[in-house]
Amino acid sequence: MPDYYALLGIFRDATEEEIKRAYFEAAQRLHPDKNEAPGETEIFLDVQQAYDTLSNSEKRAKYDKTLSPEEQTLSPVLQRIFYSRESLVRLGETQLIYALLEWKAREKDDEVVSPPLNICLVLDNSTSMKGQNIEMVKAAAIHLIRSLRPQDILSVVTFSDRADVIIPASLQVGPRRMETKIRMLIPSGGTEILQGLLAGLNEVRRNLAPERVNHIVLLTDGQTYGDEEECLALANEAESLGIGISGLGVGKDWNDEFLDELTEKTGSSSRYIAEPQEIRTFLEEKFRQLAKVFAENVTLEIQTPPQVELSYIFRLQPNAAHLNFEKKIQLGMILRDQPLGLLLEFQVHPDVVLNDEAELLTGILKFEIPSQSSISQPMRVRVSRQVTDVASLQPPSPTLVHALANLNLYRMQETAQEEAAVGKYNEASRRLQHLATHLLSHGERSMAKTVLLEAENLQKEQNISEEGRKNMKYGTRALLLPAEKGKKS
Amino acid sequence: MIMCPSCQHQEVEGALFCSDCGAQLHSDSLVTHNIHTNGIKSDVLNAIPQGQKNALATGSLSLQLLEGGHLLPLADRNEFTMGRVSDGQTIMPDIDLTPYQAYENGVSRLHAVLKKNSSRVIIMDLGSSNGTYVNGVRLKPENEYPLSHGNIISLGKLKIQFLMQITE
Repeated sequence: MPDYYALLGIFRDATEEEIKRAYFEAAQRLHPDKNEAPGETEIFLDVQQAYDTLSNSEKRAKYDKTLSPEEQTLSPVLQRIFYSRESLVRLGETQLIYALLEWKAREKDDEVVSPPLNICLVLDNSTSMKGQNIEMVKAAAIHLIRSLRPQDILSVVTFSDRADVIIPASLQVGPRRMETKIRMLIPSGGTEILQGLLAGLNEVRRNLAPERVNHIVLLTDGQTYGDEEECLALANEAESLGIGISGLGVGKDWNDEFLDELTEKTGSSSRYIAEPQEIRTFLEEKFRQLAKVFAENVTLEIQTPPQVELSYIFRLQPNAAHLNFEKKIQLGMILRDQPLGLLLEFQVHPDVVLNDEAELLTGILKFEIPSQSSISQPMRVRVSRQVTDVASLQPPSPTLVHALANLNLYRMQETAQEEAAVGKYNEASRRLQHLATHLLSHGERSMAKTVLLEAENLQKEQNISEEGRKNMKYGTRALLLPAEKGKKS
Repeated sequence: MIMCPSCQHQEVEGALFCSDCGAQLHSDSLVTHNIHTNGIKSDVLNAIPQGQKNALATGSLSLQLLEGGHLLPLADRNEFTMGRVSDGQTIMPDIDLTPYQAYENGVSRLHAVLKKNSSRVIIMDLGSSNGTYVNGVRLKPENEYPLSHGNIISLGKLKIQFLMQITE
């Protein structure tokens, strides 16, 4: 008999509500009307059987007796939580607290086998890519092809007004032939991202398997028009299939907000490539990251008690991004050599601190580990603090302060851009001046200069340049990445 | 409530960075206290954070050019005029900015003056042609303005950061 709890991805002490929710979710995903993959119908029948048993308290008790006592297996993922304060204070006013949640692989980096890749490179081949951009992309793609291992699958799709599958997803294509096809690319036409994504998703789906890292890498230099909504719907579909989408934007003319929204749905993010010469570096970095995936499809379902407001969530690494969230957040991947770090800001209202302990968040973390075939047990997440009458003088965790200091810079430009967008030019300009001061004290000279220039632009022309906007956004975001930190010191 | 030491913005308990100017809020100021603003409002606004006073007593002041990063120490005196030198000039500035493209950036011959006393450092524009700015705000000529660590002074288009080093 299958383990019904594992099948539904719930704990053995799950409440009726949790069982119901898990069943509906699984049923939607596996319903035979929608799902034609072989074997899925059998799973669907098992899921129904599981729900039938667990939703009836008598049947559930009987079933529970047949289970062997839960093995105390160690979770393959380690969890750590840092707080900005030792305790909350019993106060009659709203107070703030930050928590840094970290999950990392229990195994050592070199003990895990890299899962085989199933990646589609979706390349913008519109007229604007002509010249240096496309040449750099070709060189980078050829280099990537040469570095593939025999078990990796790489497909390449180009798009303009239409999409072309340049290299179909298959293990059999010879590297020579792949290279020749890449070399022959000639840019022409407009930019329709939807076409490229549709074709890319199609290629990845051919070899879709849980033991692979299934991912689309989208590279573009322009705006797509009118198909944004469809693209976002497609990203949702990719997410439900366990396919990630990462975005690389070249130059100043692409829509970063759109690409952020698109990639965030699948737990990834977009990055900014200012100069064509950097295309290869960024592409290779992305592939290196994908080859280091330990867990993927990491999701966090969250619940906060009333009177606790979760006001900001930022994924520090990998793939730094300000996350929009509802009940369930797709967090993307945990790498072998780098934890998944999530910074949360809570606004705690007075009613919460009446008791001696205040619960701020409960959640369930789920993940899939490509190198392990069995279903991974989900993990409970609980963020809570003691309440005291006097403020603790213990300084906050240095790890958290460091992360928050860099995040502070990102949030300053974020706020300034929001202010500028609604016409508060003076406020925005003043904020950027402050930001420049802080950047200088961090030793970030060239970025401080960019920021000052934009502050001036705001005063004179009531405008931030597109280039400056992206430089500030992705520049301050890059400060959060551990790799950048290493480079500086 | 917590008050930001550098801009006096009020933050809720538990905040680590000022949401207005982005300054880090010191951990010893995390202790809650009530701020009475009735009657002593002007005092609060003119108050100088403790750290700055110490800096003036024991530390050193300097100017750093944003372009190129040259550091100009301000020592031995309490008043410094800033400007550039050209032929036939009778009054020379204390700080000559000619080597730093002062002319191209629109710096006047006697552009502005810095004065320090026991408690603070002030800047005054001397009626320059292209104006003096602190953090992007243009100063009225012949009016004194207090400076604090990290402020960016623009003489015309020449940008200089004001630094107070605390030597402990």
